[in-house]
Amino acid sequence: MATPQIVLPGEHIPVSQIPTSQKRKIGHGLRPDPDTESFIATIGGLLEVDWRKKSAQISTPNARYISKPGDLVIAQFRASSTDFFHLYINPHSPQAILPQLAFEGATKKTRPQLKTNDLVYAKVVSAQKNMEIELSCVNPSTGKSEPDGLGPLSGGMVFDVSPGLADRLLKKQNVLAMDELGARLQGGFEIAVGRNGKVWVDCPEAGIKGICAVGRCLRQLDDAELGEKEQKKLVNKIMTELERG
Amino acid sequence: MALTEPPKAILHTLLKADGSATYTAPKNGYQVVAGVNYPVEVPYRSDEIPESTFIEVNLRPHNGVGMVKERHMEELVTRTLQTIVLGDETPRTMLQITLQVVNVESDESLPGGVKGGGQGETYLDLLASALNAAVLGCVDAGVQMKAIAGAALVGICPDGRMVVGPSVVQRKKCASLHVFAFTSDSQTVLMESEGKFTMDDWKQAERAARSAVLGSVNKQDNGDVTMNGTNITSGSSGNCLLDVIRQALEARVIKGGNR
Repeated sequence: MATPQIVLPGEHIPVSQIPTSQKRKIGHGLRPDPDTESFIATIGGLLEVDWRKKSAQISTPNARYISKPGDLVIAQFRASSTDFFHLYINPHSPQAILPQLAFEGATKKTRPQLKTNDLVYAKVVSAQKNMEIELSCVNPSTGKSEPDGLGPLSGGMVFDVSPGLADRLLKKQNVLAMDELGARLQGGFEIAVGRNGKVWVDCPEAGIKGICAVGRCLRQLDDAELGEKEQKKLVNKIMTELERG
Repeated sequence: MALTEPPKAILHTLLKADGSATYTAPKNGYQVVAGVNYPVEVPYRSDEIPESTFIEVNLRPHNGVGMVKERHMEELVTRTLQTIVLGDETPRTMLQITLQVVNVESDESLPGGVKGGGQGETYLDLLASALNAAVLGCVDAGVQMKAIAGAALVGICPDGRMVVGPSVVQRKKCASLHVFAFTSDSQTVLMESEGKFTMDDWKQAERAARSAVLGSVNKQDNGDVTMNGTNITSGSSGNCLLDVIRQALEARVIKGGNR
């Protein structure tokens, strides 16, 4: 992977730093320069180039989350109508709808019964301005909830994080502390990350204390940049405090 | 002429806003907190722009409520931002910027102290800080922009000396005050002047402001020079406004080194 590079809006990015393939994918924050082959950054942040996937984009640590198709989100159940569940993603997004049959193996008789405020881990199918966001809990090609583990989330707790950290967690980028904590906590923990800045954590064996430990770790990861060593130190500190009670 | 004491900028100082920044003018002058919400719904249908983003700027003085002076500055900041924000990326939405002055410079060397920022006084000193804070907030909120902009305040003393970022006492003595804003591709986007001056003074002030914002080395259209802040930021003037903005962003961005 190339060295991390921080760009400011208006900065030119030479052709040599962007994949040139016909099938390349240019993501958020880059726009082509009309005069030359190069690109101009339109937002400030980290330039991420993946040569294998032929993609390039600029990621920002914290900008407002706006749903787009393909995102994994954690949504909260609000109300039910004949064919749909109505869910809540975040304060500034329109209401989301989830077809009652869009669960793994769901039929008219076996569809899940959700109660108010229940959590659902779902994928965004379509999101357009002034329209409800459509979610789904199954992979349309296989009819299964894998590989993302979609579906209702029971037990556990939800933590609010910045959209930037949620992104990093999904990409497993510089979040070594989570692996470390999983190995140290008794029985490990289960985690679901929503792009809307929500992280659901469950820790069946270590209980509430374990969940809180993970939550504290998330907050620290969000606050400042931590190196590999600092992350290990952080896990050590959290674990000793947990054992002390 | 570089700034004697660089301004300070911190990104993401507010928790609930989409983007925020705190900007402190050189020599511990004005401190302005910017809160940016973007993109949000336009409250009034009549304000909605079908093919662009509606920009709303609210400026709150350090005491009292905003009046004519603040309205005027809001208008100037809005117009400057309109030239750099890529509004067509988020049509029919609003970019809302709230600027709160949290600290004004005061000089206690004289009995009673000297303070700036009163309603009847010049607005130019605060204008530069307000614009810089707004741009920083937009960078933090991930607003799509053509380029970033920065402003500098230049005072011309009665003896013809240029002072970049004059202190409150110096400002009172200056024959004229000027504010210039430049984009990172070295275009002028704002010029406001007050007082008595000649065209030559004005040109000189423009040059002084340009070097304070963009640095003494003309760094335009640089593909690979400004990357990563190691080679050029330490090499050239080092404390021009664009470098300060870059450093603020670097402090905020979390680099995902290991994958």
